[in-house]
Amino acid sequence: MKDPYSVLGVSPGASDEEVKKAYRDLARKYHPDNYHDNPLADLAQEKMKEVNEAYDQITKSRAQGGSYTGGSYSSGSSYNRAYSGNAGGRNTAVRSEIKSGNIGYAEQLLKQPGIPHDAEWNYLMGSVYQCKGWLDEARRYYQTAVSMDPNNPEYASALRMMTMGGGFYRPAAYSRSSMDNCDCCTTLCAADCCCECLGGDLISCC
Amino acid sequence: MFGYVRPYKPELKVKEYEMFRAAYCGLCWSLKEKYGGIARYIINYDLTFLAMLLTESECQPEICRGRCPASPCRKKQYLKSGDAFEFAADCSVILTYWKLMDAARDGGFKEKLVSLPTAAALKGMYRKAEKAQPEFAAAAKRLLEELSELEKANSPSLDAAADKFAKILEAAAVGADNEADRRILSQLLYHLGRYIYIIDAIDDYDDDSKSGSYNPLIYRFETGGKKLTEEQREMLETTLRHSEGLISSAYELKNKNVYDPILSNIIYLGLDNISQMVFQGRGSELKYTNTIHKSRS
Repeated sequence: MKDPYSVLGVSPGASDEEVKKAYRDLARKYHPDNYHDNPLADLAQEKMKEVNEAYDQITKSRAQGGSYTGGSYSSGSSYNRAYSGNAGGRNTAVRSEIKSGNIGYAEQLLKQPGIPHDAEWNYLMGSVYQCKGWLDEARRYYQTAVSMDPNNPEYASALRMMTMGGGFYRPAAYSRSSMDNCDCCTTLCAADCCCECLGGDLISCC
Repeated sequence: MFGYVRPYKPELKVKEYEMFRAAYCGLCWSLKEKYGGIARYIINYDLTFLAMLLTESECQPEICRGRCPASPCRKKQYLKSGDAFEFAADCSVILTYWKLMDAARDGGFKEKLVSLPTAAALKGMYRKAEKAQPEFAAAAKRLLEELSELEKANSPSLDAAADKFAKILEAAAVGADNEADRRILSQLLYHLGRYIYIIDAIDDYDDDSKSGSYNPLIYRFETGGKKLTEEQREMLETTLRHSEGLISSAYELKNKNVYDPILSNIIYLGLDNISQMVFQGRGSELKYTNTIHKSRS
C-alpha cells in the first residue's frame, strides 16, 4: 500500500484543509465524467480508488476517538458506457467484445456480409471506431444512427459527446474561460454599486 | 519543418521557458554527438516533446554549456537527460530519412531534386539509427508506405490516413515498465500523431488545392479544392479538441517527470494555440521559423 500522503501529493504535516483540497483536486481530475468513453477509463477508476483510499486512511488516522466526519466521494457516474439496447444475438456479442476491449474482433463481426446496416449497426460501428481513435468516422456513424432512430437516447448521447469534442478535465490554471478568479468578485461589486444607485442593495455589507 | 508541438510561451514561467530551450538544445546536442554535426539540422519541436515525455520520473538532467552554430559568440545551456533524448535523436533520423525517401519516390521534379541527394547523405546515419531502433524503423517504413498507398488512391477517409501517421508515433511508446504505462503512452502518442497529421493537412490545404497534390480534406469533404466551409472548419476544430482531450487524459494518468510544467503547458495550451494559428492561416509563421512566442491574436 503506497504512502497515502504521497498519493495525495501532500506532506504528512499538511493541514486538514490542505489535505482536503488536494483530495478534491484529484477527485475532480479522475472523476468518471472526464473518462467517459475513454479507453483508459479502467486506469482512471483504479487511480480514483487509490485516491479515495488514501484520503479515507488519512482522515481516519487524524480523527479523534475513532469516528470521523466526512469521507471520500462515491462516484455516482460510471466510467464505462452502460451497454443496453436490443438484445439481438449478434449485436449482444459485439457489445460484449467492445466492453472487453476486443475491438478488432468486434469490427470483424460487424463487417460480416449479410448484416443489416440498421441504426444499431451504425451505432456499434461508431463505438468501434471511437475506441480505435478514428473520431471523425465514429461521428459519421453516430450521425447516421441518430438519423435512422432519432428517439434512441443511447445514440443521441454518443453523438452529443462527439459534437462536444468529448468532456475532459482541464486544470484550473489552463481554463478555456477568459474570466479569472478576480472577475467574479469585481462583477458582483460592480453590480452592488449599480443596485445601490438605483435604491437597492445587492450586498448589504458593502 | 520545425514542428507543431510547441508550448504557449506567454503562460510559461521564465525558468520553464529556459528549461524548454535547454531541452531543445539537449536534443540537438544528442543528434550531434551520435550522428555528427550535420544531423543537428533535423532538430524539431515534435521530437523535443517526445524526448521530454519519455524522460524517466527519477531523472534529474545535467546542465551543460556548449558551442552552438546558431549562437557563435555565446555558449548555450543544454540538458543531458539520458536515454530518452538519445532515443528521440534516433527517431528523428529515421523519420527524416523515410520522409525524404517518400518525397524522392512520389514527389514532383523539384522535390526529387532536393530529397534524393539529401536521403543519400543521410543513409549512413540511417543505418546506425536503424540498428539502434529496429522496430521503430520497420514501423516507420511500413506505415509511411501504407500512407503513400492511401494518398495515391485519394482516400476519402481522414481517419484512415491520420491513423497511419498516428501509429508511427505510437510505435515510439517504448520504455514502459508495465502494460498500464504502455497503454497510457500509446493513447497519448497515437492522438498526438493524429493531431499533427490533421493540423498539417489543414495547414497545407490551400497550397495542395492549387497544386493538385493529395490532401485528405479535399476528398473527405469533397470540396473540389474550394475553401473549407465554416461547418467543416468547426468539425475539424472539434475533432482536434477531442484528440487533445484524449492526450491530456492519458497524460494525467502518467507518472510525471521534471518536464511536467512544460509538457502540461504544451498539452493544455500549446496544441490549442497552434490549432488556432493554423485555422487563422498563420501556419507559415510556424513552418519557417522556430519561434515559440507567437500568441493567439
